[in-house]
Order: sequence, then structure tokens, then C-alpha cells
Amino acid sequence: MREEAVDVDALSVVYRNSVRAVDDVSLVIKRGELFALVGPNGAGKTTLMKVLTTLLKPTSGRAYVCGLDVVREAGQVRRRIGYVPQNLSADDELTGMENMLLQCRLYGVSGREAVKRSRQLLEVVGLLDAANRVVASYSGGMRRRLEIAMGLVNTPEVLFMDEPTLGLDVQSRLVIWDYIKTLRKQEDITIIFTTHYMEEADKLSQRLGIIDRGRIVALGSPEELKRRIGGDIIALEAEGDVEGLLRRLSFVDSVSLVNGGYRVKVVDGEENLPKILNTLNENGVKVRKVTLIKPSLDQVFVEFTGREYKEEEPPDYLMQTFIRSSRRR
Amino acid sequence: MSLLTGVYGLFVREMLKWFRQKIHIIFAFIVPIVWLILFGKSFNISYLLEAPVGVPEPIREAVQQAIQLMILRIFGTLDYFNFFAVGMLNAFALFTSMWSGMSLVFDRRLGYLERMLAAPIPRASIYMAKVLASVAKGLLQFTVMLILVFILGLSLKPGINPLDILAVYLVMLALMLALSAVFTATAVKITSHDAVISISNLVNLPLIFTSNAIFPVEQMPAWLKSIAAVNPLTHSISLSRYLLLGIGKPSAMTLHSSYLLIFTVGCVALGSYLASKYL
Repeated sequence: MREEAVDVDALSVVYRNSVRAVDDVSLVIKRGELFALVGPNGAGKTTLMKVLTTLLKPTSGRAYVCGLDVVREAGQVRRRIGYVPQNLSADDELTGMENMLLQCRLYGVSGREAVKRSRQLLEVVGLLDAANRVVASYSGGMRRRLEIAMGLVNTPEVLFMDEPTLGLDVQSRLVIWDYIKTLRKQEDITIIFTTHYMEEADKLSQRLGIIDRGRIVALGSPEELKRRIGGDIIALEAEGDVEGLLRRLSFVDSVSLVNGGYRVKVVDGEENLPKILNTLNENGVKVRKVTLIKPSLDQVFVEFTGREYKEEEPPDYLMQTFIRSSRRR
Repeated sequence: MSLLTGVYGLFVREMLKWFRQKIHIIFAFIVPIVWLILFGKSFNISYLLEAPVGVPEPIREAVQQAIQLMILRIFGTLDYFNFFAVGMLNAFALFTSMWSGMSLVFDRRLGYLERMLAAPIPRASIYMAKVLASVAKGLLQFTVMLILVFILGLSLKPGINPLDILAVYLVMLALMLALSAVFTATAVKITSHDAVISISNLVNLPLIFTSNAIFPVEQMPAWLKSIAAVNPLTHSISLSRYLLLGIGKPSAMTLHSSYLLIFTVGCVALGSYLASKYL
């Protein structure tokens, strides 16, 4: 039996419109890890998570969760995992407590045990006072916290969270981060979440996978990945033989073109930026714009994909708020 | 995990939501009341067919008697309201059941369905909870309507006993189970609520008009008769008229009840199969 929390082997998901949402992904996540799947919208994060939570059958390849095949042993997998979907999907006509009790029932917990567990979890996410209010009256942050509590009713071995901070303001996002961190400390649980905020993956996860166009392009701890850039980056917009001039400098690691601008990798950017500007000036190159960038996961993304990383609220999020608000009347 | 844990929890959810939406409950009663009072009470066949005043007295009485026999032959009761009201009690079962797919469509849209699918419960239990909740709502509504038609002047057959009422409940249970099973199953694949509304509106009146809810089958043209014969409403209505009003031949009831039973079992089996396959 496989020991890993998640073991994915050559997994592909091809949708009917022949889009390869997940393209030959192999990935191992160990027990007890706090793992982030990060990437732009439409990269395949949610699709991969749907396969792991048994909601979607892969086109090819295998995936195991807690050593169980997600296709052939789906029922057993469902029993052992918790899932916090991307959409706010608690029933907003019911109270927080009713949602919890119902969720308990779906996982075979009933009676006094269900009440006890629901109260406990609501307390953990700070919703005990609002337990008897209808969910429609909750704020976005409160709803997210309820969703997380609902994902924990069966004390799962692996908790999957799809964009747990989507659509939240900075403050509510920090609150959610805190819950995830405490949860990680208190329980013997593997937490896997997706996010399109690089910063979130950086601050929160122990290890992360950057996913782009269905493929995992980088895998490792945030520190490891940032180290792989091997220095600071100076982004330049200028005309002239920038490449030729800068390549000659000893402290310049590499020069590349990204989105019409130059990307210069250097050691110790603060010190060497003036030297670079001087060199360019002396040789008559006109510099229009210059930025010093410290290594970040955004830069890791650029490094591995050759494209700029843009964070946008996905359109389906807007759609969801629209449906919600029109439903609430 | 047993099938029933999931069914019970999800059934309770549906009922909680229903009771909380007071406005829906009120609306659930408005349409039936419109039919019963505005339609049912405006068609007074005994008055329409009264022998005119100019007819000489002794003949008038004979004509009147003949007319009454005629009405009795056609409707089985002198008061058309009796005939109509019991027919409509069955039609109301159709009205409530045909919306049973709607909650599944909304659960899909709002993500609750995904939550249920991710839980370790059999897929069929999601479907069964929806069907049973629809039946429970229908039976509650039926009870209120039964009292209402009684207040509006329904005259039950003389010597009616509690077993007859119980039997009517069984008939309604079977009818609602069959219809809810079908309409919920249509929503397993349909993702737009517009489509559900269209389907419901499309089948609603034709099903009523091709049954004996408003007019007796005997006077229909042959082609319509054959449609009425396969319409489950015809059979449940015949049974309820027999049980509540004493209309119809006892010998025909075996056919009606067997048809209804087979139809219900068939619908539930088909629906459960579709739900477990495609949900």
C-alpha cells in the first residue's frame, strides 16, 4: 500500500472540447504536508483537484489518495478526505449549524456526536455565535470559514481546498491563513490548496507546485524555488544593444527578452544596478524604465514559463457573486 | 455508509427549506384555489341543463328527470363540482411533482450538488431524497386541499369509511412518487432551469386534458380515449373518484390500481437507474 497522501502518475484530463486541462502530471505529496497548487486561472488547478476528490474521472493515468485509487476506490477516498469547493456552496437558506449537522450526516456522523463535533468546529472557525443565523446573512469571510468547518466534519486525513481565499479582502484572507496554519499544527492532517495568489502560496505552503497550461512547471519549497532564480532581476526598457553590452559585465548572469523588455539576472541587485545604468549610458543606450525585482514566486513563474504572471479575479468568481446576489434579492 | 443516512439528511434539508420559504407555500396553494373556485364553481351543469320554463309542467318534470339521469350517466354525480374537484386533487399532485427537478437544477448551479457528490453517500440517495421530499410536500398539500374541497361543498359518498381515505392517500402516494421520479430524473442531465420550466409547462395542461380530470373519458373521440388510457392521471382519478364519491364500477378498479402500481414501480426504477448512472 502506498503511504503518500497523494500520488499522481502520468495523469491527463482532456475535456470534450479537446482542451488538455491536465497534461501528463506526476506528483507526490507526503503525509502531513501543507501543499499549494498555484498557477494562473485556467491552468488546471481545479481540474486536478476534482480528479483527486473523485468528482472527475481522468482521461488517462492514475491517481491515488491515501493509497486508494480515486476511480476504482472512489467511495473509500471520499470517506477519508475533506473537500472545500471553490464555490461557496453551503446552503444559504439554512443556518450555519444546520449546514454543519447535514454535512455530518452525509459523512455518517449523527445524533449527539454530530452536535458536539459541529459546535467544536464552528468554534474553531469563530462562528459559534453566528451558528443559528441563516447563512445568507453571513459575510464572505464567514462563509469561507463555514466552508472550511464543513470540510472537516469527518476529521479527514487529507483536506482539499480549492481557492479558499477567493474573493476575500486582505483582512479576511489573513484570518483564513491563520485558520489553515492552526489547523496544520493541531491536527495530523495533510492540507492541499489551490490559489492563484503567488504570495499566498509563498507565505502559507511548505511546498508548492506551479502549474501552467495543465503541466507542473516547478515543484519545491518556496525558498528552493526562489533560490533557483539565483539572484535579483533588473527589468529594463531601453533601445540599443543592451544584451551585448550587459553580457560583458561579470556580475550579470543572463539577459533575456520578456514582453518587449529586458530581464537581467544579477547578483546583488542594489549594488550593481548603478553600474549597469552607467555602462548603458556611456554607450549611448537610452534607458526608458528600470525596475529592481527581488526574487519572488512571480519571478519563478516567469523563469519557468517565459511569461509574465498576472493575478486576476477569475470571471467565474464574478459570475458566482452575480448569481448569489440576484438570488438573495 | 447506508443509503438511508444520506436520504434522511437530505430529505430533512428539503423540508426545512420548504417550510422556511413561506411565500412558496402560499403560492403552492394559490393555483389550486384558482382552479377549484374560479373554474370549478363557475361551471354549474345542473343549472345549464335545467328544463326551460315554457315547457308544460308534467312534461317538464319528466324532462328534468331525464336530464338528471343523463348528467348522472355522464359524470356519475349530479354536482359537477364533485367530479371536477376530485379530478383536480390529482392534477395538483402533477403540479407539485413537475417542479421536483427544480431543486436539483439549483443545487447544481449553486454548488451544493458537488458537495453531495463529494460525500461518501450513494448517488441514488441524492435522487431519492429529492423524490421523497417532493412526495411529502405533495401529500401535505393534498391534505389541505382535501379539507378545502370539503368546505367548498364536496359531498362524499354515503357511508365512506376511514379505509377509503387511507386508500386515496395510497393512490396519491403512488401518483406523486411516479411523477416526481420522472421529473426529478429529467433534471439529472438538464442544467438550465429554463428548460425545466419549459418541460413542466409543456406537459402540464396536455396531461390534464388527456385524462378524465375535467371531462369523462367515455365521451372522448377514440384517438383521445387511447391516450387517456395510458395517462396515469386517468387511473389515479378513477380510483380516487371511486373511493371518495362512489363513482365507477368496482370491477374496473383492479385494472386501475394495477396500472398505477406498475407505472409507479417502472418510473421509480427508471429514475433511480438514470440518477445512479448520470448524476
